[in-house]
Amino acid sequence: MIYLELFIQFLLIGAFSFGGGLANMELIRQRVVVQQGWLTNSEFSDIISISEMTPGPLGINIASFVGVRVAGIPGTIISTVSYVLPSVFIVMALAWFYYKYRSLKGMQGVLRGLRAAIAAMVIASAVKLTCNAFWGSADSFNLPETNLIAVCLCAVMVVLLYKKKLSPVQAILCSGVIGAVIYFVTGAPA
Amino acid sequence: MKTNKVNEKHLYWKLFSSCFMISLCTFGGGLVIISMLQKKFVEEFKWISHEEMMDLVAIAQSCPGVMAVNSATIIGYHLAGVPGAFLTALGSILPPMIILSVISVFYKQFRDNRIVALILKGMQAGVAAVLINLSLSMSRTALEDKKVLSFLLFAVCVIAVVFLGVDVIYAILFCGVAGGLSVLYEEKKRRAGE
Repeated sequence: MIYLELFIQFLLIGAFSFGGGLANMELIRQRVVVQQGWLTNSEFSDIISISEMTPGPLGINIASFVGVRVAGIPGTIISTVSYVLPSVFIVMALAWFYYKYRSLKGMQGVLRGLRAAIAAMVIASAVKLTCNAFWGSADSFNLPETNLIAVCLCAVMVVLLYKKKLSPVQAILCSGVIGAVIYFVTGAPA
Repeated sequence: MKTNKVNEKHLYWKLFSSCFMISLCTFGGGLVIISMLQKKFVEEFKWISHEEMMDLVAIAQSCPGVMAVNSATIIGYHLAGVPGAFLTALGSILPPMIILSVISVFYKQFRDNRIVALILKGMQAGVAAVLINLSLSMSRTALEDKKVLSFLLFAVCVIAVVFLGVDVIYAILFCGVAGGLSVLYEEKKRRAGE
């Protein structure tokens, strides 16, 4: 049953979403794209673009969008609520603990260890979605068919993000507008 | 924890509506939303002191999930117990839920428009760039303490997740346990040394 599947998947995603925002994209992509096949990698990338440009936290936007794409309005309610449910309980438990013992030392150690997993997660989503942007699929490296326009756009944006401290939203918007103009002029298929 | 410091008549409504409005009007999430919450609850309503707010944010950051929602939840819990926590969480998630449901209705027609499709195609390169940039900064953060354990965990996770396609939940569990144990170990060593 799709509702139950959505509930379980987003409950898991919510419980393990450490690092926030874009850092958790791989956690969601593995479940939604790879394991369940609810969306393609391109659709997932579109959802990230759209969610970055709408108000509200990225994670919630993604959960809402995936839910509604997969199972309509009931889907979005289930995915979003189950996404935040674990953290609501964990926040209350941790708050109770903190006021009792005035220390979060163990938790801070856990979080320090998690940095490695979070970095690996971000690298994985970067690799997969870069492949998707360059070759139209997350698992192929068909060199003669490289989308050179995407490669150039991506390279310029990485430099701007790194050197000029462009915000993610600005980078995505810029590459959207510039990319559309170039694709239109060169007559690339959409 | 029942603080009950605030005996406002419309406490529940104010909690819900503040979180709803903040979530509705804030782009960017994370720290932007936290500064908005601070403005509302610390400076405008004066329900929470600056120091308390720092503690609350620290707890919110230690939890999984969306930091903005966690911060709102813990403010709700702090001011009005469990019902407060659920109300603020609900207030924070409703606006994105409504907005994205509306957008998704148009997504299909939207996507069939050639110009929109080309913009979205261009944006895929932008999303890739954002993630590449984030990979660089996250890797640096993961390795900045220059400890052997950090390098080991990082190497194991990258190989497992990126190359072997291991479920990231296992990587998170593994690293969380390793991090927790390393703190226990350091604490024990420190005590033994005293």
